[in-house]
Amino acid sequence: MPRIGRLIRPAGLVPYVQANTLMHDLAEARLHGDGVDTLILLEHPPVFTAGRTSKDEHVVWTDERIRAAGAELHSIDRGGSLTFHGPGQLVGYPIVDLGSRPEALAFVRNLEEVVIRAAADVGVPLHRSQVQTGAWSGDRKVCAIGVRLMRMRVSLHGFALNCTTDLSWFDAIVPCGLGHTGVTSLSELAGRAVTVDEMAPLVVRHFDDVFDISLVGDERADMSSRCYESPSTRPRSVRE
Amino acid sequence: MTSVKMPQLGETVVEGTILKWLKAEGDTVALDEPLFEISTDKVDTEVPSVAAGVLTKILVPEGTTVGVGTELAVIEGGEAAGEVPSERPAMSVAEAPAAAPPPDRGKRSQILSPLVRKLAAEHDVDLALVVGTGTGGRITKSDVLNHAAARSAAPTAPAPSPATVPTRAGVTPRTAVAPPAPATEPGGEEVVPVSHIRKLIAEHMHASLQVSARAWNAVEVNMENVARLRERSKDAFKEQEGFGLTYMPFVTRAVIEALLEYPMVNSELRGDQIVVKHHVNIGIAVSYEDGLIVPVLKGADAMNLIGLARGINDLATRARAKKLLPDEVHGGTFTITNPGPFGSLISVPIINQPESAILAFDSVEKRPVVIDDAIAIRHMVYLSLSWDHRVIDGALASQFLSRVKQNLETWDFAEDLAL
Repeated sequence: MPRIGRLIRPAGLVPYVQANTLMHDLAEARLHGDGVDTLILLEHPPVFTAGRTSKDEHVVWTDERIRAAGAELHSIDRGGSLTFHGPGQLVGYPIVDLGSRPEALAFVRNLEEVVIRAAADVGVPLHRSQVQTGAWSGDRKVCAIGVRLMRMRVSLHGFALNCTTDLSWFDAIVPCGLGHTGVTSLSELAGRAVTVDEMAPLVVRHFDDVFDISLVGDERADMSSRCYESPSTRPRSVRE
Repeated sequence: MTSVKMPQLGETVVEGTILKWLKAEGDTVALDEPLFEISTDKVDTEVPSVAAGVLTKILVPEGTTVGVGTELAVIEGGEAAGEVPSERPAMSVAEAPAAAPPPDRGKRSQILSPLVRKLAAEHDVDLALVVGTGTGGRITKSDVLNHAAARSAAPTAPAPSPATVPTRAGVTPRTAVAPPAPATEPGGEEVVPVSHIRKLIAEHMHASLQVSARAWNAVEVNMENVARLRERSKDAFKEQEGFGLTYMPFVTRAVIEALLEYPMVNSELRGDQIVVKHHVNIGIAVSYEDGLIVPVLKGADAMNLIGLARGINDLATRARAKKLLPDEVHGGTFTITNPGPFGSLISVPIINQPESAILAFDSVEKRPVVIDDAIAIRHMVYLSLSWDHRVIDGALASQFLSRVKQNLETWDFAEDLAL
C-alpha cells in the first residue's frame, strides 16, 4: 500500500521567501511526526539562490543589475551551488521523511528518475550525468537538483525543471559552478511550448510511482491564507 | 563518554565533508539537538547529537572530508542515545560496530531501501529471514543477494539429505543463512553488486537502443601507408612526446575531415529538429577498471595530428586515473571506440546519445588483399559505423565511411606529423 502524501500546488508566482518558510515549517512538523510527506509544486518570480558550495565569482551580473532586472538573490541552506528560479520553471519541494537511516543519494536519484520519466512523457529524452546531479540533455542541464536534510531525516529543497523558462536569466550566473556546459529547457528541446501546467501532473504521477507515495491535495491550493510574512516568522535559513 | 562518528547517508555513500560545527568545544548539547552539518554530493544535512552532555573535543575541523564511521568529536557527561528510550529508532552513529549481537528482529529498523525491497521481490527473498550486516543491523543489497545466492546454492550443495534442507524461501532456518562476506558460492556462481557506474552505463546504453533506429555498415581500409609511417616515426615520436604513437590520432583526423564534409553524421535529433554541428568534439570511449567512460576532445577540428595524439593520450590517461573534470565527459558531437587493442575484428557499437553515429575502429592486421589483380599482404582494418536511421540514411553512412577510408588510404600524414 502506498503511503498517502499531500500535494500543495499554489497558483501564480510564489515569492521565494514565502515558499522557503513553508517548506521549513512543514519539514519541522514532519520531523516531529506531524503531517505527511508533501510535495510542493510551484513557480517563483525571478530569483537566484546560492547553495552552500556557491562561489561569489559564479555570479556574473552585479547585485544592482540583478535587482534592476527584477530578480532577488538569496543565499540558502541547500546543497549544491548557484541556480535560477523563475516563471516557466516547475519547482518541486519534496518534504519527505527518509527515516532514521536515510538513503540520501538514492533519494536524489529518485528525484532524477521522476523528472526523466515526466520528460519522456512529452517526448524529450533526458539522462543523468556521471558527475553531476540533475537531468540533462547532452551536456545541457534541464533540471537542477539540490537537497538538504533537516536533522538527517526530512528532505528540504528539491528540483527545478525548465519548461518554458526564459533561459537568458542564466546568463547572469555560472549555473551550479559549471563552466562550459549550458542550460536548456523542455520547450527548447521539444521544439514547442511545454508548459509548467503540462508537466506538473506528469511529475505528480511519476512521483507517486517512484516514491510509492500517493499524493492527494488541492490541485490549486491558495497560499494566501497562510501568513508567512510577519517579521517574527522571518525565514531562519535565508542568510543575508 | 560518547564518540560522535561520521554518519552514513546511504549504502553508496562512503564519505562526507564537515560543513559546519554548530557547537563549540565546551558547549552543552542536548540529545537530538543539531550538532554539525555535513555535505555529500549534492545532499547536505544537519546531524543531531547522539548524546546529551558537554562537547569536549572536536577532532575533525570544518571543510574536512572523512570516511563514514570516522570519529569526529567526543561528548562527555551524558547518556548516549542508545541508552535513552526514544520513540524514534536510535541513530546508528553511536552504536558499537561489527561486534554487535545478531540483530533482534523485533527491534530492527523497518526502514528498507527501495533497492533492497526491489531486490527482495525479484529474488523472492523473505526479508524477515535475512541477517542485516549494514549499520545497526540494517539489511543491505548484498545481504539480499547473498541470501538469494545461498538459497539457490543450497539444493546443489553436497551432503545433507533433502529432507533436512528446506529450500523454499520462507522456511529456510536463519542458521542456514550463509555469512555475507564470501561472494563465491559452491555452485560456481559469484554475486557481484551492480556498481553505480555499471548502472549508469546500463541505463545509457539501453536508453540509446530504445530511442534510436540503429543501423550499421562497415568498410575495409588499407592502412599500409599509415602503418609504415607509424613504424618509421614511432621512436622519434616517443622521444619527443613521451608516449606511444597509436593509430587512433590518424583515424580521428580522417574522421574529423569526413564529419566536416558530411555534417549530418555530426548532428543531433532534438524533438522535431535536427541540430547539425559544424564543429567537432570527439568522444573517445575509454575502458577502465570500473567500466567505460567517454571523455570528449573539444575543438578537435582545429587540431593537427600531434594535437589529437596529445589530447587523446591526455584524456585516456586521466580517465583511467579517474581525474576527468565534469565538463570533459559532455558535449561530444561524435564518438570513436577502439576495441582493436583487445583483439576485436568487427564491432557493432551502440550510439552515444544524443549523438547520431559512432565509429568503431578494430584490429589492424596483415591480410592478403587483391591489388591490381595480384595478391598482396597489407595492413588492413575494418572501420564500422553504427548510425541512427532517424537522421542518417544508408547512402550517407556509406559515403561518410568511404570518405574516411579514402582519407586514410591517400593522405600523406608525414607532413602533419612533422617530426
